[in-house]
Amino acid sequence: MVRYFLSRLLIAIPTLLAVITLSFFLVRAAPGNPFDSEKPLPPTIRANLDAKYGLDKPVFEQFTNYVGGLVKFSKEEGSWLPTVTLDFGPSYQYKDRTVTYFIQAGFPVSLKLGLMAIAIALVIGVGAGSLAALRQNTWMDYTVMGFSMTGITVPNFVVGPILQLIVISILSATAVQLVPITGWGDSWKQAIMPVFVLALPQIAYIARQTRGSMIEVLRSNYIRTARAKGVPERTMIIRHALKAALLPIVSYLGPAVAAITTGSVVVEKIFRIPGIGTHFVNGALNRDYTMVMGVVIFFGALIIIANLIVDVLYGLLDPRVRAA
Amino acid sequence: MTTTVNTTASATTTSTPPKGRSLWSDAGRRFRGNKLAVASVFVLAFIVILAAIAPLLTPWPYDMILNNEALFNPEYEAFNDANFPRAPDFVNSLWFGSGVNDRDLFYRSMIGVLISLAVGLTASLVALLIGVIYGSVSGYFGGRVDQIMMRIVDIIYALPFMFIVILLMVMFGRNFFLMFAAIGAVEWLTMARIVRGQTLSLKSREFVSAARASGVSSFNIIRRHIIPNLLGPVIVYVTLVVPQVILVESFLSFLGLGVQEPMTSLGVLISEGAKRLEDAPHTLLFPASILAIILFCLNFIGDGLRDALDPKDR
Repeated sequence: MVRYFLSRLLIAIPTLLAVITLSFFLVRAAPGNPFDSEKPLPPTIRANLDAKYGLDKPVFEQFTNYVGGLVKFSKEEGSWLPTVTLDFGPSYQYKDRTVTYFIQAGFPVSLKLGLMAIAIALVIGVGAGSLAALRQNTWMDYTVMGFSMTGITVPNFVVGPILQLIVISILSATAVQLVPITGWGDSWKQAIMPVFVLALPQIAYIARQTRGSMIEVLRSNYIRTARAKGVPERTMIIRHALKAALLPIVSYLGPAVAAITTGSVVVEKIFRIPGIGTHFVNGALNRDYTMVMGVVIFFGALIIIANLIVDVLYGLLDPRVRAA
Repeated sequence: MTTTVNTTASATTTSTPPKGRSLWSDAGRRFRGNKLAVASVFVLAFIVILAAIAPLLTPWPYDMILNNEALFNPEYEAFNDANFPRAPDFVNSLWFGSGVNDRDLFYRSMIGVLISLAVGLTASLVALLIGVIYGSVSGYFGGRVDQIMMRIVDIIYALPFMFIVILLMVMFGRNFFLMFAAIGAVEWLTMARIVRGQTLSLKSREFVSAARASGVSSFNIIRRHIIPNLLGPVIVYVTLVVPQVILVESFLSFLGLGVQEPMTSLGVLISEGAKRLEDAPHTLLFPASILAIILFCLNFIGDGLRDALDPKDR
């Protein structure tokens, strides 16, 4: 187990370093100076700006400074635990704000959105998938598979606006507002649409995956044994079949976290939610290099850590993986 | 080489007819049996033809702002009306109405179709090229070379790709070719893994040993014997990559990081339409449904090809 964990860690660490290095040097390789505007700046001002943001040092030193600054340990008086702060440097566009400020402001929102989406995707996806497997080749199966094909094919930046359009049409036809279509934090109802839109592709994948592995498991010998033994159908499904059928779902959680992080960027834009994704898109459009770089590294670390956790979880659940 | 293709084909058909049937004619027969896939081919062909002849179907240039033009040109007086986006209007040949910037939405949607497909095909070919070469070399040489090459793939695989692509687009401007390259570079990884797996099983086959025994170089064995024999699964995977690439392109364009004005793409049109869905829903509905239809068609065709070329997977 320890060896397995170490081998996973051995992939996670170089990946994280690759993300940081790649983003840093891509930003430095970008043509032009981040402070260039229509009018070239007077050399003295520019030199001062460069000095303020540390751009006058050699690139390698800038890199070590940036990496060294990313995670800072500081120990407060009287506390025995060091506090960890993440420092992504100043924002190039908002002169009085740091990138960390935006990430701190946006992350709780994005995290809540993402966790709700994953939870809903798991519950509905596993439920619908098992139902489809147990009622294979009935209308129920076809409905679930049809919906999941749609969820996989149609991207959430199409589903989101179309659902908004439907809610608006119902509003203008019957004067009933089903759910709010934008915003965040004023009422829990505002979360319904974005969470659903974000979860939809994952519901679809998980339902498909569960159906596939469930059908396979239901054909296996030990299920036949359980049936022959007279285990009640319900117990058989929950205790024997579902347990084995869920293993591939656990390993899908890693890619799911990545997909939800990426999807949250779009969903936050559609539903005007003040999460990290919104800051990221604004940063990208305003060429706020440090902001984009900071969010890429932050999200990258998040996805890599999620993958690591999922791998370890999978190793704990399935002894066959550890042996390999 | 041809003989091996034939043996695999006869092994997969249950009744061997007196005349040998090739893998491809068998696959074609199976594909034609899949109604959904065949219908998708026709729908997709219809959309592509429509997009290709779009300039003949509409009198309005794709980048002309109708309202602006009407102010200066008496010929366009019908559009002298600041109230746009215009609803679909058959009298003036505005089949889809006008978009958020008061440009002909039909023409612009069709340009979006062409751009999506162009990006989809080009980037898939880039992925195909890199993936096949990388995977076959890694699989054929095996051992330490294989381990290092696949470990590199593992690491790149774990990178948060969409974000790296966005970073690239921000840094180097919204360059069209860069977009092809960036998306292609994302999609080759799975291809490399598939190709490597196939190569591993191919390289121990007799015809490869025979080639090696008769002194053919590694390069020529890979080129003449390995690559032609793994085309089946590779083609299946490519057809599934095309819709993914189209998704990435429209995702970027939706965020405003992809194709720039006055050019357009389905992602751009959807993002513009989403802002006006309250008063001009057609600006959203047309591009959104076209994108959805294209993606459905490509997925059905991909599934059909997979069933046709890889019968054991059914």
